[in-house]
Amino acid sequence: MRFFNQVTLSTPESVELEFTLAGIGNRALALMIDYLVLGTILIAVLFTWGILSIQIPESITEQIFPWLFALTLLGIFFIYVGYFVFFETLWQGQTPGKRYVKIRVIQDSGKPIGILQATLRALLRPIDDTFSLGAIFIVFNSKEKRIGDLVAGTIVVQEERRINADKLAISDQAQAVANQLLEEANINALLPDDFGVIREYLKRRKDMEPNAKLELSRKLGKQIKDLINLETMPTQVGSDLFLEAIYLAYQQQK
Amino acid sequence: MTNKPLGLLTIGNVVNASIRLYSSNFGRYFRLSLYAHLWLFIPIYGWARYFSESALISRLCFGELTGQPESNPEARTQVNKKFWSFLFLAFGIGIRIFLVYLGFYALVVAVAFTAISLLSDAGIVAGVIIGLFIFAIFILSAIVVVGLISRWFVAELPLAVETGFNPNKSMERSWQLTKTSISRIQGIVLVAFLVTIPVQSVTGVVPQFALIAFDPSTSTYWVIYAISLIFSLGGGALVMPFWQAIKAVVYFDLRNRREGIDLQLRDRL
Repeated sequence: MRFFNQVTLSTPESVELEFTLAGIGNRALALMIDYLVLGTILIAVLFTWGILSIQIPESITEQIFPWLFALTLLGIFFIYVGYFVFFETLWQGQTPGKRYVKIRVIQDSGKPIGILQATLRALLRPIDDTFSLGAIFIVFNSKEKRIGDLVAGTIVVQEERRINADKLAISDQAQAVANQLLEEANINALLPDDFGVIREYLKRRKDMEPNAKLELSRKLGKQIKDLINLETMPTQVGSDLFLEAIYLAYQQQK
Repeated sequence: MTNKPLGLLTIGNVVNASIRLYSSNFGRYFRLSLYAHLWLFIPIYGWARYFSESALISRLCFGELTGQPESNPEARTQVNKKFWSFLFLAFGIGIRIFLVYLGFYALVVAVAFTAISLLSDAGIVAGVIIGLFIFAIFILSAIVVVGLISRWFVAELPLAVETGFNPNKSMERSWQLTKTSISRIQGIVLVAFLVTIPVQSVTGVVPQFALIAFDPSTSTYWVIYAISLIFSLGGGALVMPFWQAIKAVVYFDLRNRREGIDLQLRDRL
């Protein structure tokens, strides 16, 4: 079973790109954040506007009140639309909310969106927001397009998670053990998938429960030992250190 | 097709995966949920049945997540071994939260009474300070109760999918797993709630508006009342599997985070 909605786009240069669609969950979260930011901006603007308009003498205010009122409404509309157009154009399809959630609007072709697409999406947003119409479209459309996306020819995708290999904390002793393993064991027997599991373990271990972590590292260590035909575990090496050494040795193998 | 591991899930992706789980098994889960809701009309036994059937849906979801899907009868055999436990669990959580609420309530009443008896003529400033104090207690109580609900959010799951659990142990397990993820769970619940708004506005709010428009002395009112009851029952039945899926995904994700249950080396032979 596939838990995420994938799309494959082929560029004019016939390069195939695979994306994971953002999904309603990420989009709802991003929208909530954006509306919080937007709400704060609007309150600040209206507050300043209110203070400024008090300064106008009452005799003038009475005459131009309808105009002031209309101007205020127009201003709110421009800020609302402008917020999305400004950020999606400037940040290539991202708003503060989308940036936080790590999703991005792109064109159907895979190209970054421009001011035209951002404007169409922003102008149709009020319609999508009415009766949660957009949400219903997103759930039932195979490419998760709300009305604004259908008109602008855009999709919303998740940003690729970058694997920060350099961020892993590896202890100092690991290199010595790795050297030993490279000589004594058959590191070549490890496949990329095995390496992926070890890397994932080392990445996540700091948030694990101590007991569960110990049990898992022992189990993985034992399995790896069998896979690489290692006769005996190096002495004085705990299972965590062993897995760290495997991680280094795999990358240094010839 | 290789089954790509899910990895650790973000808030939005927990909600996405749950929707996906539900929509891929829509007919099956919805039927279970609908019958579970009908059982609610029968006291005690029916309620226990409601909770065990809800747990059944979570168990089915968890099976999909771990790549070991079960049929309804298979899963029901396992869940029914602890048939009454799910009712006790719901009751246990409910009563604890109620007691905490009561404790805060008593605190507010005590503060108010002492304040009135001590400062009967102290004036506005004292009044404002006491008012603020009571307001602070209310905020605090909301934070504590929401926190408790988050800590017990996945308490059904160990009971439903593991062996050797009773309601108390299951609550402890949920408490321990959610330790470092309280705010994440609250984020997930918030987003999941936002996503259900379209459904709830159709099944819950619209019939209420229809009711306002009619006079309770007419028979039309009662016909619409019956329709609105059916609507809200249907709405409940529609949304429940989604929440059970959310709980299963959160439980799965927490166990991946805290215990790395998805970190398995492939069997090679």
